[in-house]
This record gives sequence, C-alpha cells and structure tokens, in this order.
Amino acid sequence: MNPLAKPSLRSASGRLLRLVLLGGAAAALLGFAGWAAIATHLLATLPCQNNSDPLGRPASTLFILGAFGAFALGHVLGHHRDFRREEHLLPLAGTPPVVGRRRDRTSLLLHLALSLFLLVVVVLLTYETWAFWLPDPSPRWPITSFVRCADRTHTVPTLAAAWLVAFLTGHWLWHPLRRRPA
Amino acid sequence: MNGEEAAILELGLRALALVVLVTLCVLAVLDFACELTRRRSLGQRFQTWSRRYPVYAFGLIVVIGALLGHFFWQEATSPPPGP
Repeated sequence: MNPLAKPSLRSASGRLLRLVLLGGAAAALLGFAGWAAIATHLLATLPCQNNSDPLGRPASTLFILGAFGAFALGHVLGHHRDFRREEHLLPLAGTPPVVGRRRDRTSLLLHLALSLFLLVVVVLLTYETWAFWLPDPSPRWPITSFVRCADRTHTVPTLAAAWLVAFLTGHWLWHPLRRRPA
Repeated sequence: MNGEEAAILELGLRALALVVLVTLCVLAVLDFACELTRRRSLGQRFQTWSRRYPVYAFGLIVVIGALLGHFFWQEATSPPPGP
C-alpha cells in the first residue's frame, strides 16, 4: 500500500515539504541580502558604467520562463497545506466573505508586515519615477539600472533571487480556493 | 565613472537589495512560523484580502509581473554581454 495514500501521512509530508521550502526560501533571501550588503563591488566596471545594458538570450528568457515556473510551483505548494485545524476559518460555500472574522495573535504582526511590503513597493516606484523624471541622459540611476547591473555582473544569484520572489508571489497571491460545504 | 560616483551607486544597489530581500525574508519567516504553529498562513490571509478586494489583488499581480518583465526581459534590444 502506498504510504502517502493515508491522509494523515500525506498531510504530514505536505506540511514538511512546505516548511522546508518556506524555511529554505527565507534562509536564501537572508543569504542574498547579506551577500548584497558585503560583496557587491563591481558597479565601477563594465557593463555597469553605461547604466547597464539589459541581458540578452538565453539568460533573459531563463529569467522569465523560470519566474513563471516558480510562480506556478508556489501555487502548487499551497495545495499541500494541512487545513484541518483551520477548517472553521474557511468561508462557507455560496456565501460572500465575512468582515471581522476571528483573529489570532499573529494578525496584527502580519498586517503590519503586509502593509510594510506594500509601502516599500510604493517608495521604490516613487524613486523610479523621480529617477526617470529628467530627460536622457539622466544623472540619476533608476532601479532598473541597478537591477540590470546586478543581472550582468552577478547573473546566477540574481536569477535565483528573481525565481524566489516569483515563487513566494505565487504561493501567497495564487492560493488554492477552499470553502466549507454549506 | 569616478570613485565617489561608484561608491554612491554601490550604496544604492546595496540599499535596494537589502530593503527588497529583507522585507520578503521577514514575510517568508512569518509564513514559516504560521505553518509551524498551525496558524492561518500568509496565503490564506492574502486570499481573504484578494477575495474582498479583487481589483487591488489584480493590480498588485500586474505591477509585480510588469516589474519582472521590465527588469529581466529585454531580448530584442540587448547587445552581447560586455567584457
């Protein structure tokens, strides 16, 4: 008999897989952040001197196709979550979402973290707009140039970081839809 | 490019990478903790939010996808890698 045919074993293995992938993603992101803080020192050299030309084939394609794959993988991982203990939190089938659902102690922390993330996106896009405001050639470096410089000088770590971002986005924003039977 | 400009650019790249990667890392750690303690995951909370505000969720995905494409997908105009 296949051991994974047993629901408890299947949910336990799914949870372990999820813990490993999420923990690995967090550790990898921390590693990339540390590496970026201490090991990036190539901006004064080609190709970054000219505001960084974009990458060509096949690396550019690899970035995009890999990001799509990582996005889908993040979604698939959402199917392997153990929902038994939060069954009562799922919305009832055929009913609209209820405002003011029960909260636990992590709610405030998570809402703050999500707000911080969206705030970071707004700040970065504001900076990008400010950097592009002047006509070419602008003395300000937009974020695009920073990222393309990292693409060209540190292709593999940047590729891994882009895939990780796509994986987490797919896992968080493309979550499997679940409902309690009415 | 002189040394001062290069130092400013390096600082910018480091700050950008740190802000983006550390923020995502914090969210991933929180999701890991939720899974470990069997609380509602970030994905579940996002799902509730996106079900309540589908236009915002769609907009967020469009922004993230557009940024990824803008940063990394430039095949047609790209010259070969420099020395």
